[in-house]
Amino acid sequence: MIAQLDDLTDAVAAFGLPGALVDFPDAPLMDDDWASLLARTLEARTSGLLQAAVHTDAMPVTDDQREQVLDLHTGTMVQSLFLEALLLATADQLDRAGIPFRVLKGSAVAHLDYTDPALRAFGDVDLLVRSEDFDAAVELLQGVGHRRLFRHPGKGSDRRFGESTTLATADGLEIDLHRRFVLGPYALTVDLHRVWDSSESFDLGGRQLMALDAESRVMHAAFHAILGGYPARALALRDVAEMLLFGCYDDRRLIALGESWQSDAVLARAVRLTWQRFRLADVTRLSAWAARHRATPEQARRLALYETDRSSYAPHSLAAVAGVSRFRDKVAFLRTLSLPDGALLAQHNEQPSRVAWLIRGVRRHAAGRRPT
Amino acid sequence: MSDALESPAAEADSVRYRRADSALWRVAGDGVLVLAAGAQEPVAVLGAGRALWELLGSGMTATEAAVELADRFEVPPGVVLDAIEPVLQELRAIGALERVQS
Repeated sequence: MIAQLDDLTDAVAAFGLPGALVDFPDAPLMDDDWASLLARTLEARTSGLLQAAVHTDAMPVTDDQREQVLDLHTGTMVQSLFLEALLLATADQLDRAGIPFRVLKGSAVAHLDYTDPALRAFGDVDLLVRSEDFDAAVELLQGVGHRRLFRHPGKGSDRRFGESTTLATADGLEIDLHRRFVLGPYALTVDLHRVWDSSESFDLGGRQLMALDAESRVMHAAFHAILGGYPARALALRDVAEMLLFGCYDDRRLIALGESWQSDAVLARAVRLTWQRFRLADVTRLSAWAARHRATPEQARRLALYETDRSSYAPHSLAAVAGVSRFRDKVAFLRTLSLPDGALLAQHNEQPSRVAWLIRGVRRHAAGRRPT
Repeated sequence: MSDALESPAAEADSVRYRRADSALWRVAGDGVLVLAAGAQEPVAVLGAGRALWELLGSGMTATEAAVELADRFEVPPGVVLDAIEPVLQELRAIGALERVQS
């Protein structure tokens, strides 16, 4: 069933993409397989896509399973909202300190590239600052009470420290502060001047935040898909697909950017892998270009360096299962403030189902605390 | 006339509210999760509350919202108004709605 679960995890990640020849089962999964799928969904951060597949009946589920997906998705979205509040607070702090920044991945991709941001969950706040501002930004964020983390104190910590660092809030939320957006050999070929010269903004909480421009976002997504872990994460591939199938990028500018960063092989491989894993039938100009692209021996050597590093993002199924429980516990704290449907039903016996559905109430999430 | 001097019925007819720009929100299933600026915790607006939240993207009085929802869900407008007023009140209280200046 593991292979089938792999396929199903990808099918969830590909849900809603035009031309995706992925299959969902004909009947609800048995309990063990369902629990595994939920754990993988949590780890892959694709709860919004699973929720959408269930909501449209593409993915058959039992009533209990339907509730579990909604619980999982609700917990994930609560976390996304807290992270966005943290992003806004951090943006204000950086602005006041005169430190320019760009929002990477997560919230920026959710708002700029997805038709519904609820489809794109994220686990932290990713910000890019200029290399010369990096230390000041770290100091600033530590000054407001965030704690610097070293997730990998052993192997590779120096390299990671050199490219980015993670700061945790008192509530356990994390900010990844980057001065480059790729590790290893490609860090030397990516010219970040473009990132600072050309950007795209999105609205969040009534303010404009700056993100990468469309072509740089595709390149960043390609880097993340191909270099961010092996095998490639389903959500990273979904980002690539979402941008390439629905985005407003320019083919020629994108390929030129890839070539100028000596990263055209990364882009081509990301596109090919996305089309392969999601079984995308539609051929676009870029997918045709990617199919024709041949990496030079040097490019192939570089890519191989990343694809043999299996340690960074190894699956942690047990941790993910524990995470499911945490989310469900968290969602269980939602309590009802008002439930007018009972009174309404008593007063208006006509059309009870519609009235009952009309407003089921406002429930307050009492478990989490907003970041300060 | 200030809010305090308006009767609930008059306010339902005359005061327009819309989603506060500062509110963060996400659709989740049939509901919407809303985290107002400065709030310590999000609220979940469920069921047709999602439709109400979508309507509040533009300025609307409670009565206008009730008429829209009544038409959509084929329920008498008065019933809808009774149902949505506590929800609107809660959303206003947490700062998720802002009054539209006319």
